[in-house]
Amino acid sequence: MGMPITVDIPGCRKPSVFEAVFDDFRTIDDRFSPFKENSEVSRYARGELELDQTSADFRTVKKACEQWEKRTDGFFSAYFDKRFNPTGYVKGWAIARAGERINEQGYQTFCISAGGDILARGGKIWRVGIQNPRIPDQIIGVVKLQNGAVATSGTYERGQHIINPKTKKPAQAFLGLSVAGSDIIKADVLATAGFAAEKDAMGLLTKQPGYEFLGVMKEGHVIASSPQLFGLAA
Amino acid sequence: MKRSSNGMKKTIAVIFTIAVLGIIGVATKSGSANHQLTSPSNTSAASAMTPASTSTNSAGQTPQAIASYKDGTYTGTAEDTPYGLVQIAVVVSGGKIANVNFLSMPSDQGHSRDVTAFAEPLLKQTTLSSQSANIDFVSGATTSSEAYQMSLQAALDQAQA
Repeated sequence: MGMPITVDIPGCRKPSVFEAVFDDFRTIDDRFSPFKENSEVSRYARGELELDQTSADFRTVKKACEQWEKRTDGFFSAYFDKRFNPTGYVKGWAIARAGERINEQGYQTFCISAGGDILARGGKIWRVGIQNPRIPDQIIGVVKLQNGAVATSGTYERGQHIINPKTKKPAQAFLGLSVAGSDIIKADVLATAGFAAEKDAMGLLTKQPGYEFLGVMKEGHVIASSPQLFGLAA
Repeated sequence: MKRSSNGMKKTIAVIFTIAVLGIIGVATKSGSANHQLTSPSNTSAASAMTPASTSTNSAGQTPQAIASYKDGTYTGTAEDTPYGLVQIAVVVSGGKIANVNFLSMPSDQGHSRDVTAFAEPLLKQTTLSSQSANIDFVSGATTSSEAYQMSLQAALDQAQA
């Protein structure tokens, strides 16, 4: 996906397992990257492909994006300037698929980090630091993650913007927003939608049982639905 | 075994420091002239505080001296804040705002739920090396390969490879 990916499978010494996982990520990137001229996303955006000519995966992703747009009151959207770009959804989806691939290869315990999102499955507790959005080599919290996911949205890299679909302007209320819960796709969508929602984020994020969040506001303070989960208990 | 998509060739030394957060304030549009917290038993006390780092809030009030608050928990009236419409409970400890709890207002479907805001550094350690923090992974918005090279994740992958 053009994003850094790390896969840790304790007890696995077979390079072929890792090759299979990285191959899957590459295939997904070839299909969904808007930066690749011949990806399905690019061809569809140019009108070279009708929807019924696209792959099953493409249609699955498109449908899921539409459902999530409804569920998040429009704050999650795969449409940018009327072009379909599901990059925000595909990251979490690709990670979930990678997890399934690892299971298929016979391993139940693993942790995947891709583009800053983390998925852990199995019996091990992984310590996941939450990056300080202002100072990238620092952490502001630690999640003891077992059989769950952490996704973080932010725009602290130059040139990145997440647009608030209500105001049509770059979302600025948060510097970073992390969501932790059982499902990586949902955590990813909520982190993206919550970030875009700005002051409307609480209405969305506090209605998700089982999903906790930590946000760093632009003024510098931190808000968290479950301070204990993020190692923030005062 | 652990594998990364980026091959690392150099050693990156990383020192962790826990960010020091500024004192928070909660903006309000209530326009109330009285922002003084009075006593813990007065649950309808005004809850508005202005950030120490800005000079005025939207009603043109000057910031209150944080140290004048008595210890206790104060529940304010519903306010329109940067977080939406919330009810605020402020916990004051040692004369300072220890944290602020937001009770998000019940919506037509939802129930209210606590959110806590932290004004002070949360972890007291000032410096953590990656070994003593013992972090396996980092979650952040680092997505580009260049940023990754400098990032925590790279250092962790290197350290644990």
